[in-house]
Amino acid sequence: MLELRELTKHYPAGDGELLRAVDGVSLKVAAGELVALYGPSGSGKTTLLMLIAALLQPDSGTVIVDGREISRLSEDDRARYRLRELGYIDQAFDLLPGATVLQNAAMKLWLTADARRAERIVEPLLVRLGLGERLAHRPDQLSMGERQRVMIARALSMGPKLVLADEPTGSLDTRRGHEVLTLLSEICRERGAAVLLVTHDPQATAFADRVHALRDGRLVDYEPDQVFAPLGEG
Amino acid sequence: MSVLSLTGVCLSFPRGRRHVIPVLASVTLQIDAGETVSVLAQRAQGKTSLLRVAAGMERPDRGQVCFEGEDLWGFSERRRSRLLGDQIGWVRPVVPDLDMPMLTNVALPLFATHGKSEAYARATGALERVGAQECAQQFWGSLADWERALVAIAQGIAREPKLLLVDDLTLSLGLGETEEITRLLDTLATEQGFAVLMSVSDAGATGWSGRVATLAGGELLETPKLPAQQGNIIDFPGVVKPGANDPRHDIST
Repeated sequence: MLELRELTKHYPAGDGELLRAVDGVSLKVAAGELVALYGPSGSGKTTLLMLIAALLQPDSGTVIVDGREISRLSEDDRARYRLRELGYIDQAFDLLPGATVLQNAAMKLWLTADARRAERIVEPLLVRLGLGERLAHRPDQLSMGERQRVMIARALSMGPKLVLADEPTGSLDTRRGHEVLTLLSEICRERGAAVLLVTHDPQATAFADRVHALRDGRLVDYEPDQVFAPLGEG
Repeated sequence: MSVLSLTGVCLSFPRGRRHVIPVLASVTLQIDAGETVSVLAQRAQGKTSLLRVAAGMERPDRGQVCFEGEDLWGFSERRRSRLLGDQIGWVRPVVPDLDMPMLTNVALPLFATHGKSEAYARATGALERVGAQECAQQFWGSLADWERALVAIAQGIAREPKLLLVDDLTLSLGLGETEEITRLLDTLATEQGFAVLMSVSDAGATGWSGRVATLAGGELLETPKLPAQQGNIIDFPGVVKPGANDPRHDIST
C-alpha cells in the first residue's frame, strides 16, 4: 500500500551545511499492516510523515501509495489524496466546541455526504471505539483519551487506505495510550488499512507488526533496549 | 443587559489527592454588546480557564455565570450545547485537522446547522469582513501567521455570535500585526454588536481594547486606561492610532 524509495529531504542548517532530516529512507507497508518507526525528537519522524502526506516535496526519492507516485500529483490532487485516502492522527485535538461527538467525528464526511448520512456512517465506528454512550456529548465533557478516539474516528471516517499516526498517544497516560493504540491497530487491521506509527515510546512499538528505528534521518534496525543519545551527540 | 456577566466566580483544580490549585478567585466581570475586554496575564495564570468558564465549558466552584441575564448552569445540557454552537464563537490558534481551502475550513462547522450553501455564503462574508478574502482558496500551510489569525477570526464570526472568545490569538504575531488584529476585533465588535472577551499574554495586544483587566493569582483587576495606553505607543506606517480619526476612541467627548 505504501512504498518509499530512497526518500530524501534536507534542510539548510544555517552554516552552509545541510541537515539531513530524511536521508535515503526505503520502506514498504502492506495493507492491514502496522509498522512503527521509533526515534527520538529530531530524528526526522515528522518530516517523513509530511513527505508521505505530500505536505512537503522530497529532494529526491519517491512516495508511492496504492501504486501512485504522490509527489507527481497536482496540488489539487494532493489535497484530494490527503482528504480521501489518508487518515492523519496526531496529538492535536481540533474539535469543534459546540458540536457533539457524533458531529465532530462526522465532520470530514460532511464534505461528501449530507449531515445525517455522515452520522450514520460514523456512528458504528464511534461505538467500536467505545464512545457509544458519548455520542451526544460535547468535547469539553470528554477525557483526553476520549477526545483522541473522536479524532481517530474522524481520521478513519472516509475509509482511508493509509493511516499516519504521529505520536498519537503523546498526551495520554500509559493506560489510556494503550487503550487507544489497541483500538487503532484492531480497527485498521479489520479494515485493511496500512498504518505507519511514529513514536518515541518503546511500549507503543508492541502494537506493531514490524518496528524500525529512525536516527538522524536514516532507517536503522530497531533494538528494543536501545537508548538514543540526543541528536548530534551520537 | 450584559451579554456576559461573571459574579464572584471561583475555580480551582485538584493536584494530587491533597492539594488544590486556585485558578480564579472571586472574579467579577460584565461585558456588554459591542464591547471588547482584554484579559492580560502571563502563561498558566488561568486565562483559558476564564474563557472556558465564560463559555459554560467549565463549571465554577462558586459564583454565577450569566449569558444575557440567564444563569448558564441553570440551562439544560442541550441548551448549553446550542448556546456554544450558535451564539458563542471561539477564536483560537489551532492548526486545522482537515487539509482544505480556507473557505471550506470556515464553512465546514456550519454545514450541519445551516446547510452547505448558507454555510459557504456566511464563510465568504466572514472572510471578506476580516479582509482575508484572498485566503479563501489557500491552504493553511501556505498562509502567514497573521493570515491564519484572520481566518481564525472569520471562523469565529461566521456563526454570527453574540459573544466572541479569543484565546491568545496574537501570541505568534509581531507588534504591528498584533495591533492590526486587535483593532480589527474592536471594529467588528462595535459594528456587529457582539461582545469580545480576549485573553492576551502581551500588553502590546491590549491597545485597541475598550477595557483591559489583568489576571494574576486568580484575581481579575480592571485597569483604567490612560490616553497614552490607547493604541500602541509605537507608530507604525499606515496604522491609524486610536483617537486620531476615530471618534469612538476620543475619550475627551
